[in-house]
Amino acid sequence: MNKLIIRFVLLLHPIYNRLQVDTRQLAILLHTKLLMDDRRPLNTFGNRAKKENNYSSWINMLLLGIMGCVLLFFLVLIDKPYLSYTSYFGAFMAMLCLTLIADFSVILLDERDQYVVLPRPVNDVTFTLARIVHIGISMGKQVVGLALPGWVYTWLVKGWLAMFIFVWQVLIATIICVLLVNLFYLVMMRWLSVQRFKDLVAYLQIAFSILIFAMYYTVPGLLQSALVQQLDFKSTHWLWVMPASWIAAWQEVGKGDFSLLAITLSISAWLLPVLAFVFIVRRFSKGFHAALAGMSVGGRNIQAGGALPSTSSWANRCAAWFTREPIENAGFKFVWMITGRTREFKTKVYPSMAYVPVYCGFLLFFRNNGPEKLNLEERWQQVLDQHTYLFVLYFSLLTLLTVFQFITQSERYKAAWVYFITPIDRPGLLMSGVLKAAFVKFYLPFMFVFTVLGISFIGISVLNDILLSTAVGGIAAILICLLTVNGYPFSQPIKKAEGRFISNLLLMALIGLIGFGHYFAVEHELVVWGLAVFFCSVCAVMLHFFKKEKWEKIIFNE
Amino acid sequence: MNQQEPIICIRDLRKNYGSKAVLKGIDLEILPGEVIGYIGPNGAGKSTTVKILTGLISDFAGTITIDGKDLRTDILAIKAMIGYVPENAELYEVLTPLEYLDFIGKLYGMEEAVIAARATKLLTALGLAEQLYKRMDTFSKGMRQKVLLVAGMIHNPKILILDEPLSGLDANAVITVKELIARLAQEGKTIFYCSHMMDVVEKVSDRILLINEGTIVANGSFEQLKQEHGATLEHVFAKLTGRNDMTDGAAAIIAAFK
Repeated sequence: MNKLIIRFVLLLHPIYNRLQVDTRQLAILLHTKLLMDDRRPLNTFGNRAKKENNYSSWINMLLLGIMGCVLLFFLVLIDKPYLSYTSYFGAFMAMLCLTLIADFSVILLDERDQYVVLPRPVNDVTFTLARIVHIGISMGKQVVGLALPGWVYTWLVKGWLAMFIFVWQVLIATIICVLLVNLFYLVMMRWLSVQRFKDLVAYLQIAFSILIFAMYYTVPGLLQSALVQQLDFKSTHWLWVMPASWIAAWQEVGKGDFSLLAITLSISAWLLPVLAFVFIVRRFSKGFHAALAGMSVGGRNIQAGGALPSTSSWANRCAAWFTREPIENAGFKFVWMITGRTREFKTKVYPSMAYVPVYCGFLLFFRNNGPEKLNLEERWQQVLDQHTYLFVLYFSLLTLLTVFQFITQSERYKAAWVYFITPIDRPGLLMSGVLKAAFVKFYLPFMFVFTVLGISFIGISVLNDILLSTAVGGIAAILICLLTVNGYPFSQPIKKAEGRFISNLLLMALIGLIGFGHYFAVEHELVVWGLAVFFCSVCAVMLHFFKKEKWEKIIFNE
Repeated sequence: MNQQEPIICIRDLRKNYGSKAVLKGIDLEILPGEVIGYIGPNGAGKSTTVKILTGLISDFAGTITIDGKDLRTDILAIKAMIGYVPENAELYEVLTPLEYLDFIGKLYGMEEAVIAARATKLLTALGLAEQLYKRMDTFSKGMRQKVLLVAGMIHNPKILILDEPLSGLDANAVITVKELIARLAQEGKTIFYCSHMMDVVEKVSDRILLINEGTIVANGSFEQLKQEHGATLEHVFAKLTGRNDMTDGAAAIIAAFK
């Protein structure tokens, strides 16, 4: 397929020749870059494919197609066509921008070009064109994946003309997105080091996965709400300033609406990409390339001027509070600092943390509770009456499963030789530091927030519930660590979690069982207090024995 | 013959990877305060020997005693007296040097204050005073190598195993490390120095061990080896590892362009 794409690109060879592009070099550059794209690990939804594959970009396209199906909510669930296409293209552009930012970073920040291509006799025009065409092809695959479901829907439901207009709309939306992403890059590269920029991209990837997750659960409910269904496009002026509404106006014009509003918005949608194109050509080829060329060196220099990372002082403080022995302290600080500074860990674990509030919000407020349509106030009362907030306390424990699944893995796993040349006589103590750091950093913040919110909205009586669920959390953390962790932190290559399905399932079942027990006892305050004290004691005893664990399953992986 | 007890004693050390024998019965005694230059071609068994001595590989045949302790039964005590500087600068580079050394030091059971004071002095001595609080992902290879050197010495070990310690270091740092090796030996530390840099091995080693295809093929001071086999260590190396045809190889490369 890539060969076909390259042949298609080379059809314009008379133009390339006139521009002094070496077409043979262009072809081989594109071939190699597309080959590398297809072998790149997938990072959609914050998860990387663990095994080698040769079709990454196509799989990525397929995944974007699934996201495109999610976008169909806007077209299907909103009755008003103008509004539905405005919402659709708004979401389409948001998704495309986030995808492009994440994906461009891999393509544009690939320093290998500096070492592999630039020292060779490849002229600037060929190099720049190869880069731009490569970006175009990568982007094309993504856009086609994301837009295909909407295109098919428009074709089947709205007809041929609407289908052709849809293609035009997608083109406009894509060019606007490219402009926005370029602006983002130009601004960020001016102010941030490569390191910080890559961190920012990682956070955007996380935001992207959360957005998808949140959309999946909340959008159908929101779209069917009276707020959205009663929204009238023509009288809601703030919608007119959104480029998505300008793009949507083309469908109205296609249907024969030649009102001043529809025509003005349609022309705006046409003008914006033209202006964008001029801006891209001027800025993209100059400022961008120059900034990129100096990135590998400049980035280091900027970063080297930085101060002590802020996570360090927090790590020291918390390690002093929660650990006693030096080796436990070392494990605690190590995990605290590395988890806060490693991109691959953050992109895998942070989304799962963000899913907790999203999913809890959905269950508490957006879930369809039956035939009666309750408003938010009535739903909140229902949460209090039925004590469904307890679910939130236990649901956040799932984050720990994700943390322990990835805590042993690292791209820098070869640095783990230090564990095996040092005299670690009590590995249980080191792992206890690891356990405590994971618990304090990734679970206690939820409990803190729940405590504050619980006391504010429910009252002091919620404290025993929180204490009990925290104690259960401590026990669960110990069990998860014992059953699923089979290496020192960040000591193993990134790989597929194998053989953990059953243990994870059993642990979730156990947590669920205790949660249900809690639910049935919640009316009896003293019983809950008693259970809280009991489980706190069990947790302390388990931790005592955990520290003595030999961890013989940990071996040095050459 | 020196009357001292050997600090490292290796008897009939063998190691196979599958059906391939990598070490074929090594016998060796190293005295306290000796600087041993351990050289050999790629794949000769140098790294495997080092990994066994540092406890990274535990399934081997033969016996090794270090300071009178058996490597199989007293591995923790032995690890505590060895400092190791690996060939590849693999470290957790999102940490700062001080954070990394704090972690390493604590794995050796050291107190935080002692680690901080010693790490600061050692890093400063190696020219990293300005980088104490900066993340190592911004460091050059030489700077990372310096951090690894400090990590190998932070607990003041009796034995120092250095695997290509000069890799990536600038000329000033090379001079410092060479001088350091000599001083450490004077202090009674035993140094096991693996390298491909023959000129350095020649200068820093009291005794040179040449390993080829899993066996020690030469064992003696540079002067002894020179008398027996050739004028420079490179000649000794080429002669004993059967690679006298290196000049022919260069000629073949030139011929390929014609």
